[in-house]
Amino acid sequence: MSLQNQFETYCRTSGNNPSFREGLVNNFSRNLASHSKPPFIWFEASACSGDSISTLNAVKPNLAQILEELLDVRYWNALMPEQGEAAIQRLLTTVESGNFILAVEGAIPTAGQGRYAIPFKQNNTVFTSAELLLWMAPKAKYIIAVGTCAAFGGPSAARPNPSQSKGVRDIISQPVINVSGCPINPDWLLGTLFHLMLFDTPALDRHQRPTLFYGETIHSNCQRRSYFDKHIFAKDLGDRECMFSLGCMGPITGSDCPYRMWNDHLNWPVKDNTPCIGCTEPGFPDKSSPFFTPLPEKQPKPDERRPSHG
Amino acid sequence: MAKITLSPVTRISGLLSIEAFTGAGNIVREANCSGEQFRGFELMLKGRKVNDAVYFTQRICGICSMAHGVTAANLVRRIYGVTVSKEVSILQQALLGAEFLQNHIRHFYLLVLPDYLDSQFLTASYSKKMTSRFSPDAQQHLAEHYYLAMDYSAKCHEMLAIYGGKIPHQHGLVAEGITLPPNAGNRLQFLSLLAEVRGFIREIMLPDIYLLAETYPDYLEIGTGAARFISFGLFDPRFGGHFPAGIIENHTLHPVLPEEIHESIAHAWYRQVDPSQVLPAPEKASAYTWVKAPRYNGLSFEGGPLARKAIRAYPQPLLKVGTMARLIARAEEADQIAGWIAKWMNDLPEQGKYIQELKTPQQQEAVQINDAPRGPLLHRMTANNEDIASYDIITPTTWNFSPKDETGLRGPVEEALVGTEIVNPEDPVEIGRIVRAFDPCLSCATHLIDLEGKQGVQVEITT
Repeated sequence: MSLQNQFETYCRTSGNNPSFREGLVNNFSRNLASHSKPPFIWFEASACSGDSISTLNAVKPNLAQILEELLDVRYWNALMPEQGEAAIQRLLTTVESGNFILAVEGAIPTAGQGRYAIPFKQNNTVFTSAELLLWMAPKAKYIIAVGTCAAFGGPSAARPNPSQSKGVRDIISQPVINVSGCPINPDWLLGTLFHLMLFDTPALDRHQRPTLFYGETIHSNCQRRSYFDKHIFAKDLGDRECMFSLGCMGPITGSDCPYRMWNDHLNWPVKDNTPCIGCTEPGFPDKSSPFFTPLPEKQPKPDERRPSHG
Repeated sequence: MAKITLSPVTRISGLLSIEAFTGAGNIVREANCSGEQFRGFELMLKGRKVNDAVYFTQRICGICSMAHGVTAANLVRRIYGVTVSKEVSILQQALLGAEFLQNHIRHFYLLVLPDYLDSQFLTASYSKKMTSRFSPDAQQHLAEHYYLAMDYSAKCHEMLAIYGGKIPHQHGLVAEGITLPPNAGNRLQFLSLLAEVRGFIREIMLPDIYLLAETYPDYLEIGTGAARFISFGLFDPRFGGHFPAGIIENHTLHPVLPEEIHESIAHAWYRQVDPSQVLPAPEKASAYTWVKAPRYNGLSFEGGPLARKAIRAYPQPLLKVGTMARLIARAEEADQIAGWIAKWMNDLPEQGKYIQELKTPQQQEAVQINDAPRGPLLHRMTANNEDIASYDIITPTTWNFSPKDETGLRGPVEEALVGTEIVNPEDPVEIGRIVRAFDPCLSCATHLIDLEGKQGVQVEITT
């Protein structure tokens, strides 16, 4: 089996392996010996920081250690020691040198000439997230949209989308890998990063999400599937039966949550007796709304207000 | 005056810039806090189902999503006229407490500590130059604690995920109650994680904070501000362990009356288009921020751990108000809350009623106020039967990072910056240290409010 097949098999079957991250480092990092640490930028636009927090929740080893040993973290607003002008200079140097991995968290506002997200200003000049992204994208080796906001607009772009926020792929022409989720599971990002470093871009689905993690629906692997098949449905939140009756988006949501679960394999929404709300999908949250209404009856209520000003 | 711009302010949640205007002796004479992002959650919530508010408002913030979830759940219960059982209230606040612990550990180690260390101790990639007052040995230990903090803060979130399903943006805490009832197995799991976290807070975090205060004692005086404090109260007094609500102004404690809260948009990027509508206006010349200026009785107030400590200790005055006092209060509160969570979990009965049907709305207007990690949080809703007609949110960072109002009165962080000597204007470390002690969260801070027709709503201060 080629190394690539080995790696991809490892990713697909590792959802229930608690040492997934450790295994990645031990089994495959020797193959990185010939690769120097690629420069890495984590760029935050219009976001809630949930993907950063979820990434920090990776344990044994924690993601920050992996990023620092395997990636040269050049810019990350949430964590970097530098501030102000020193931070801007670091970003400038990294981008001008090219060949970096760009991770974008948050959607890109386009209303008000993009002034709804201003990562920084310098000498009375404002730099919007849109123009910074357009400047960085052509020089990046890989571009990853981290989280549903960066991938598809997500909650930042929820109807009526006052900031006219869009996903990264709607702003730039370069290829984007969508590691969606609200927030992401850190394993999805880490596995994708390793794939990039060892090989190249992984196989992507029609939403540009790695099939390694998003290739099957939740419904395919849900522990409550036998209830669904026998039409035994939950009546209330907190019940043990199939959550389709209470709005579950599992049948149309690409994700491996039933195997991988969350927060180091502890739990996941359906195991917690609540419906999946389809947070990895384009159209989240509007297409999942109302959250507790069954899928065939969901409809985001038509906007009654006049359009937002931009 | 000379202008010092600190942009981006890194190591915070969200996007923030600070402008400090200095006079003779490099003393700050004026300061502008600029919240640099806006999404418009209040506009988004209009027209959605009332009960969608819990999961939806959590997306305001990834580090305090539980605070929004709990506040929205309590609000939805008011609309439906539902009172949840004691056991739901107890477990809910234990989970909220876990969110506080996660936040407070991450805030000190990941966001604040690098301001006081030479960065090569954290990782070879970083290049920030400064001369820390700590010895290389001490810095090595603190750097090790920085990495331990990642593990222990992740454990706090594991505590939450046991009942919440996943976190950030959990599922188990809903308006109906809590979807995964406690049993002996999951209680033991939760308590074992809590025991580890308590050990970290007590044996590592508290000593580190006190060591920092000893090593940088000048920061006991730097960043004082106006010393006016506000809290909407935190945790239910019925269960032992809570912070009472209150306002401290002029060293006197007063009860909180929500109808005294108003917001000014004089210096924020909004315009009032008609009496009931405020919309974004990023081209507005007199504005410098997306954050509005909440005022209580016309004055600005600081929220957060120091405010809660001041109000709870009253009439004992605080010994110090300033940067170190804020950091110390946050760590001490983490220790207290960790102890309370253990007690609450042990008080949970063997059996209980954890889910309550919502049925039909009994109110068409309600307000829920309670504290979140950074200070007072307000969610207010008007409903059209089961649909949201309007939704207002005032977050703690709106209070703390408020701009000036129409009278020119500064917000708390602006006030705290004034009077500070910036030793080296090329590297204004003082600004970052003062600002970060307030634990900024700008993804929370930006929202809208209707200025008309919202007075006179009575609300009890309960959690």
